[in-house]
Order: sequence, then C-alpha cells, then structure tokens
Amino acid sequence: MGTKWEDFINNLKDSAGMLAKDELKTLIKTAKNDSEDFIRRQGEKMELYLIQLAEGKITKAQFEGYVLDIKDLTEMQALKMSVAAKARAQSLAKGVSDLVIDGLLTLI
Amino acid sequence: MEQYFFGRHLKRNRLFDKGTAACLLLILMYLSGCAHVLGAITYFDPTTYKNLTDLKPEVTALYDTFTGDTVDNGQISAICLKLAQMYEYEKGKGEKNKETYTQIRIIQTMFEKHVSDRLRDGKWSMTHANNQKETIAEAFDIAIKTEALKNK
Repeated sequence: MGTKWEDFINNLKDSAGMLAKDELKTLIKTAKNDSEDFIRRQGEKMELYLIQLAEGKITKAQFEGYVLDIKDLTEMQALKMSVAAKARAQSLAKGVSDLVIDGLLTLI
Repeated sequence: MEQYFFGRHLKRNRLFDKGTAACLLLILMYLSGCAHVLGAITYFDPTTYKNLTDLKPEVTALYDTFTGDTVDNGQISAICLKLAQMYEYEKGKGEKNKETYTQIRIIQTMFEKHVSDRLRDGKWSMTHANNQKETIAEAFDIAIKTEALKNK
C-alpha cells in the first residue's frame, strides 16, 4: 500500500497501457528528493495536485492546467539560471578588464 | 665573466617576464572575450524590479476575487495593459534582455490562461484559487529573482 497519490495512480484503469505508472511515480519521487529547491518544490506540487485530484477537489482540466504551469515555471527557472551564469561571466569580464588588464599588467 | 652571466641572466629574466606577461595578457583577453560573449546581458534595472514587485500583489489580489460571483473586468484589463507595457519595455532593451522579456511573456500567457479559466468555467473553489495564486506568485518571484541576479 503506497501513499494516497501513488494509490490513485495505481488504481487508474489503463487497459491500453497508455500510462507508464512506475516512471511517473519515480519522476515525482526523484523530483521531491532533488537537491535543487525549485525541482523539489515542483515534485511536491505534483504530489499535492494528484492528491487533490484523487479527492475530487480539482477537476481533470484544472490538473492539466497546473501541469502546464509547472512546465512554464520550469522554462522561467531555466532562463533565470542562464542569467545567473551570464551575470557571473560579466563580473569576470569586468574584473579582468578593470583589475588585471588596466591594473596589474600596467605595473608589471 | 660573472658580470656577463649576471647580465645575461637579467636579460633572460626580462625576456621571460615580457613573454609571460604577453601570454598572460592573451589568456586574459581571451577569457575576457569569452566572458563578454557569455555575459551578453543587461544590468540590473530598478524599474523592472519595481514593475514586477508592484504587479505581483495586484494579480494575487485579483485572483482572490475570482472565488466570488462577479468578475472585475476593469481590473483584468488594467493588469493586461500593465503586462503588455512591461513586455514592450523589456523587449525594447534588445536581445541582451531576452531572458527577462521571455519571462514576462510567460507570465502574460499564464495570466491570460488563468483569467480565461475563470471567465469560461465560473467562480473558483478555494483550492483552485490557492493553487493558481501560488503559481502566478511563483512566476513573478522567479522573474524578480532573475532581475536581482543581474550586476549593478
């Protein structure tokens, strides 16, 4: 017997074998244990939404909307990570220019 | 003889120093060039930061009203306009600001999708309202943190 959301996935009728149940459960569990705050949070949200869906608190359409929102948030997070890397590179370029080329090398 | 060796030693050292300095300069210029390409990004903009932090509570306050029977169309239009203005402002900074204007576009699309959901399916349950509010707030937070990461 698993948790409520796992039971919900396990009990879904899937005679055509459309859903890779184990992979989905692994995806959520892996995300929930990720070292990155953002990924962990998305895993927790997926779990919460599945519980809410199982309890009938949200509709299938609403659940689908939430999953698409997670996809959008992930894209935004990737853009944030890109800015972080570029900002570090920009700092390095400025440091090299101001401190090394214009400073240190003029003294050597 | 000693003077000859001493002088030659000095000369060799000076040549070595110049060579090292030249190599170092080339490496630094290369690194600087790489960093310039990688770091093609705008600087921190307090207007962007303010626009985002001002609009976030306005949007979440609007979502609170979506649990009611009536919809404030005026407020929806006002927020749509602000988001459109923010997008144009960010896009106007050019490709160096691509990350930020893409983020604003995602927020815009997400907001429109949430509003359509309310207008089409009727008033939100508390659960749905809380979920939507958390999501849009998280989207704003990511954009706010992104701007805060930029160099001042």
